[in-house]
Amino acid sequence: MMNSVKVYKQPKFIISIIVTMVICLILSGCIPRSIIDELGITHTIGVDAEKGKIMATVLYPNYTNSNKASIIKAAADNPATLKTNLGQKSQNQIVIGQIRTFVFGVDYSKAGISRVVETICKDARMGNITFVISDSKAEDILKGIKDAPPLFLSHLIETSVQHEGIPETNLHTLLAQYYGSGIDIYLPNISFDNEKQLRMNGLGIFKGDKLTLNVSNKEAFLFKIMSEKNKRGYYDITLPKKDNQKTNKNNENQKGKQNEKKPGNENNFAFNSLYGNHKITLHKKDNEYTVNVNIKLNVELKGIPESINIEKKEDFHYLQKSMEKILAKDIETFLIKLQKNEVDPLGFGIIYRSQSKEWNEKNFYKNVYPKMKFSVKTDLNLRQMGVGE
Amino acid sequence: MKSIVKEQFLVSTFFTFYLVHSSQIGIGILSFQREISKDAEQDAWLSVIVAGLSIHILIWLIYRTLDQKHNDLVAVHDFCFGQVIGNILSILVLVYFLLSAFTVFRTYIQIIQVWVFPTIKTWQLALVLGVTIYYIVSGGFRILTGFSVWGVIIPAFLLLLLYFPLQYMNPRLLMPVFNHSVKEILLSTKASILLFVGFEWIFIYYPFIKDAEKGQKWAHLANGISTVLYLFVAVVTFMYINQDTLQHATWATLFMTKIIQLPFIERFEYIFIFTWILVIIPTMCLPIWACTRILKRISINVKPKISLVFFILIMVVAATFIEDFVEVDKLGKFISKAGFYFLYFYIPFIFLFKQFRNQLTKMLS
Repeated sequence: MMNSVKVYKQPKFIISIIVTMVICLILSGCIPRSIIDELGITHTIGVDAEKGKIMATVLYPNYTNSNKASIIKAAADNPATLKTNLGQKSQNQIVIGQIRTFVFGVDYSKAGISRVVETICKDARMGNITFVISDSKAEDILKGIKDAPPLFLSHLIETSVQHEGIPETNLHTLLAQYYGSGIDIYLPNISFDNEKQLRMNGLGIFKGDKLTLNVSNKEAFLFKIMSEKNKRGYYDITLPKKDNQKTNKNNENQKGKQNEKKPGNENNFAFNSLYGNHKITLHKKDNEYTVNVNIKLNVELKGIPESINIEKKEDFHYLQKSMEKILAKDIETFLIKLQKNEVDPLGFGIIYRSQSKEWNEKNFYKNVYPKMKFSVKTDLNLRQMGVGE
Repeated sequence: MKSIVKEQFLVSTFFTFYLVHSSQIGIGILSFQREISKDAEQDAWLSVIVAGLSIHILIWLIYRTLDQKHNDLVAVHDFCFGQVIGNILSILVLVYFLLSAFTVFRTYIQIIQVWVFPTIKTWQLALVLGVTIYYIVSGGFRILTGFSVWGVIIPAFLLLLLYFPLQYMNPRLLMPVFNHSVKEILLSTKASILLFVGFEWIFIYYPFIKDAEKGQKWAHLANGISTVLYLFVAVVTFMYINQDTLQHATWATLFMTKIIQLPFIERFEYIFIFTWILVIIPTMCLPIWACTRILKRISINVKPKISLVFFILIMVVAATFIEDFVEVDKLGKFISKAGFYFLYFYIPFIFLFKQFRNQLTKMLS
């Protein structure tokens, strides 16, 4: 072998190259081909419950005929037939490999999403999709965005997650929450406002596979800073009136202005959370569990009330302390709200499980979770306040 | 009957590292997490360590069994049991090697069918893979050694890919640590042994390595690195996917690569599956090569070129007879069992028997 390495003679070498190329050409003909113009590459799919059946609406861009997207709707008793029923209504083969967003209509998410999650999401051809729920029917949402660019919905969700304080969800988190014990599913909620504009509208929280609770965008932000590394987002705070007036004495000359009716609330302002960290720990004391939530945020102040003179140490301190207090109070109220509704999207069950030898999901949610106490500590670092004072 | 290999067919001592490492890393790394965590759950990483350590002992035993005079398994068999029984045993080992190659062969076809081309027929893929294997194995042992370098480089890239799931990890999922009984951990250890199968081919290619007895440290190093790799993948998986979800994820590593979304590649797992063929090829080619070698060495003395075609034909034909995923699963379970008995019973047995036989010859002379 090695001692018989010959210098290849030219013709033989060329023939072998030609044979290789021919084999390449022939072999690539063996696999089933998919021509991109002839596929209905779905980007968005919505699922509703209708008359006891599962109804799916898919939206796919129609590149060949016009730039308008097409909508197809089909109903079936199981998700697998659904795909065929959709395909039978389309001129192109519907493919699901590029689905970016999955919308669950309100009826379907209230009835339980298990069937779709178990069938479709386990399909190897599914990518890492984002799931959202909506306040209305998923069909309406899809019809509403028909004229928008093809990836409008997935981009909307992506930006909201990255910058506007909506918690991140994807196929991985959904499956982990769906199958995993000790945590409940949460999905972002989208809906149309009065102007017919699509907006993110808080979170929907599930118990098992059924939607049970909707929380607002404000609470969604609180949720995000307690669960994720990315803590970008705005949170608005209304300073209490009484304390405010005390400091107001210093700025007597501004009082006249304040009496005029201006749009907006003078005492209300927002901070922009830049980065920070969170720590949730569970402590046991005499059979009573306390959840300690520690949140550190570096924030940028935006439009603080005129009554506060930030350069004064006293005012600065007051502002910081009251912001911390309000944030901590809001978080605690939110946690108690979750507890009252018997949902656990933050995964206290996982924390409990990691600290105790035995784990029984039913027992935890029946006996331990409802009695849990919460203690929230917030630490705000007022890092920046824009240029110019 | 010592196996004599001409100088020009030998490979350097340190290639033992590539050979052992690439034959241990293969199809198993795509799906092992679910199997090993069935009993010990989040403590299963411990089982990977235990299994890795036990393999070190077995490697040591192999190097004690082989020596200058009896430098491959066929020679050892002949020495211990005489020619007839020795040949029968060698053929049994051949069947085991062929089966382990076949398992990888069929499972990889299964993965391609499930993940990429659902309509492709088994015989089509089997034929393409069979031709590839024929081409590589007919090149001889040195070509195989060269190929096994890929089996070291590409799995190393897997570590880089794990960065993406690491962003979503939750260390709490590993806790509570040591929450399982010794029995459960040992059961998981048994399940993770299949991961390390492949090093036993040293028994056959030992004479092809220059100063082979010095290669032992390389074999240990290779096994150590395999253990670390498996451990790392297992720990990341356990932190990324919780135990309940893991039981639903058949190919957990592929499932993890789903999270990788690059601006220019939306679906990374496809690239992953096709790159993995380079990792899998040594684990199919080395045992087949070992089979042809055994046939050449035993008394029948079949020419490797002929037996190679025969073995590949068997694999291609047999692959088409396994039709559904249940049977593929069964095959995997069977080879896992066979591997377990071969490693933990047969290797110590042959070691002890050889020692006994050595003593016997000494006493008689």
